[in-house]
Amino acid sequence: MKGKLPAIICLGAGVLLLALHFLHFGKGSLNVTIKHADYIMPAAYKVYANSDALNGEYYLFKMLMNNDGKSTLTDVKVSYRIPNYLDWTDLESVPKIYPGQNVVIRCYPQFKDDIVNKMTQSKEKVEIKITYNGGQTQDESYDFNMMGRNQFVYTDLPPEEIASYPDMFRNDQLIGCFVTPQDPIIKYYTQQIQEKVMKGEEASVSGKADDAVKFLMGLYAATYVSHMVYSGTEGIPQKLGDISSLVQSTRLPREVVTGNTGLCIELSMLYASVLKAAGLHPVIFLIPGHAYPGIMVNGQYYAIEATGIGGEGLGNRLSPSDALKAGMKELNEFIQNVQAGDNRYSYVDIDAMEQKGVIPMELKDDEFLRKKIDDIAESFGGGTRTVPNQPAYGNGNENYAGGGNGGSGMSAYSGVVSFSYPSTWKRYDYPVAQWPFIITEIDSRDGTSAIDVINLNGASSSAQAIEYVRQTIARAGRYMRYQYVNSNNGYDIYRGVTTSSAGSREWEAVFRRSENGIVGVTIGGTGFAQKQSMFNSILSTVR
Amino acid sequence: MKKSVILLYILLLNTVPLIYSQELIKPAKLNVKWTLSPLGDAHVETNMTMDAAQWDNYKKMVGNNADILKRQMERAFPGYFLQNFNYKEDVMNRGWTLSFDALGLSRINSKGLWQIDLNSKNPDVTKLSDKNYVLTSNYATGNSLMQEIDNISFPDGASDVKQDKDAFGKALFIYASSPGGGYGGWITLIFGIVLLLVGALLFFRSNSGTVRK
Repeated sequence: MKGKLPAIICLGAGVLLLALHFLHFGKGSLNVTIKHADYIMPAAYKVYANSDALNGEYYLFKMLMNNDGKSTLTDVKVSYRIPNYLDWTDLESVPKIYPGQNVVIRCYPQFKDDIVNKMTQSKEKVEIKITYNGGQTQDESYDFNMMGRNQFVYTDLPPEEIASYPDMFRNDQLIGCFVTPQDPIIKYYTQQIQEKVMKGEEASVSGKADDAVKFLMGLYAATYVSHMVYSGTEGIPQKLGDISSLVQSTRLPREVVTGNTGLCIELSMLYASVLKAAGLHPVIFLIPGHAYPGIMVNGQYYAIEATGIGGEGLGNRLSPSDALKAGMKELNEFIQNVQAGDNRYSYVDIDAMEQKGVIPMELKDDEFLRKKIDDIAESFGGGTRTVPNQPAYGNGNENYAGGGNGGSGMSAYSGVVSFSYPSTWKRYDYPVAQWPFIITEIDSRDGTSAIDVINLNGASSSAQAIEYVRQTIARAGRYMRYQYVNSNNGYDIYRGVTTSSAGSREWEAVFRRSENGIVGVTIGGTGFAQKQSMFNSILSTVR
Repeated sequence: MKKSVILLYILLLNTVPLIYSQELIKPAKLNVKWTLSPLGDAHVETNMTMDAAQWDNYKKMVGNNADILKRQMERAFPGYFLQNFNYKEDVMNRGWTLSFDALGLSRINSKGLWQIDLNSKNPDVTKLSDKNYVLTSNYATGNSLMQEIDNISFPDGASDVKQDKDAFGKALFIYASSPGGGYGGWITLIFGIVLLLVGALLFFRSNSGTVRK
């Protein structure tokens, strides 16, 4: 017996190790953690479907699979379904997950187009099935809120994470989903305006700001004569899973047209839809408690107060030109607030958001709604009905208050600097929203000469200011060469040339210190040599 | 990886007036160091130093809510699970460091190789060594120029690191690596079998010896 002891020890240890292997080490084990959206907005179904849209942040769920066992998991397959919406759908196959390895799976559901027919909110369930090692399965599930197609949830952040105003309106970037230029009803409405209100227009073809503003005012005139009215709609705070947010019932642009009523954000979405359908570049400006539409033409913004239509019950209806004036006034305030760093002021550039994957919903043609458009278009009247103060079709953000005409063919500019300029020239305040340091631009009638008033808070010298301008405009493809000439009476004088795809323009500039930085005036254009005496006479008036 | 921080810097540097006073020639620099584990997770360390105006603006935006950075990072990297955030400020040098772990950065593809998606087309990649690469990207955010330098260190066991493209033309890193996991199971199995065989051999030897006696 004593001679068999080593054999028995070896056999016992062998059995023990094999048992250990098969009971413990031999098993892979899958540990799953899921992060999911608390709600889905049907209007944004094309964003949820696209992993590239808005950097992929709008997923249905993402799942961390961790192999916390001791052997490799093989042939791991994940599928999911949403009863009543999506059948079992294969999500991803992972050939191997090593012990200790983490694998992340994201789900971007391909909802069918008819999801936009869902009108009310409901609780739905996501079921997830994971198979691995050729037969082992693991099931997971969770609930979420499927909103109605008109419901817009303003944020996806839980209350404890909200630190600022933009956090409360985190989903503003999805507003583009409600802008529907491809909707056959909106296209039809746009055609009616082009034909019966505008009697032909070429804004998208000419690329001229005048034409675009004319269209903006024509659109307002169409809503005015059809007696579209301003009216509120349901907006209530809701708790959706971990999220507490204001949920607003937002009428689609086709519903605003055919219902002949809309709230500021709804009118803005309608304007953006029609403007885009007409080939323009729409923008929606968002300020605390309000929204208004606009366009961008040749780098300049124009806005109109769409809610100026008011309604007989509300009184105080604005004419198209007054609505444009009100919009431009709001736009100037908007730019000043953005410049001051107030993050409650933001805008949605519909084209830019579309490039980021914010694609509107698909809507079907509807004969009944077309007939309603026909009825509304009758109010356009082919010119038989008139709008008070019928648009003078003014020019964008030209200074409607006027520049103070001196009566001698010259106007006076007064601001951070003052000077005189030909009264036939047009003045634009904050002409380029991206470059708020250009506070005013004044263009000659023929567009070959221009004055820019520059204000750079924080700049410590004219050299620093002009270099900042050079670097900033270079990013937009405008290349500037310049040289310092001299200093005179506290002004530093520079000369230079700016080259872009539109050609070269020579200019002169004077800069001086201000309380908060550097201010200056540049003047120049094409054919500089022939106009230099005029430019010098303007510069000589700078104070 | 460039997308990583665009969101972050829009948050941090977007207030226009204060930007004017920043140094105009040099772009702001952001360094991001990615250290991959043998199992495809990464430890990520980002750091940045700012000039006085940027720092002032940064403190106004973030204040004591440094968790905003965590949220921004989670939005910037929806493809991973982020954890173990650690944030340090170096106020005397107007800088901060944010580190975290990104789970599931690299995974095994259908060919059995590890794969990292870079989420960009034609990135500017410099090879420092077989296991160390640098991606450089420049972009404008707000009114400020930004230079992002991503330094990627592959795990010690990695070999044949290559750049490739996916079906959509987006850049990938592909490499081979043995994670080293799961050997405990094989060792116990092999040792167990060896011990059983040795035990059986000894048993039969001792039996045959008894018969001869």
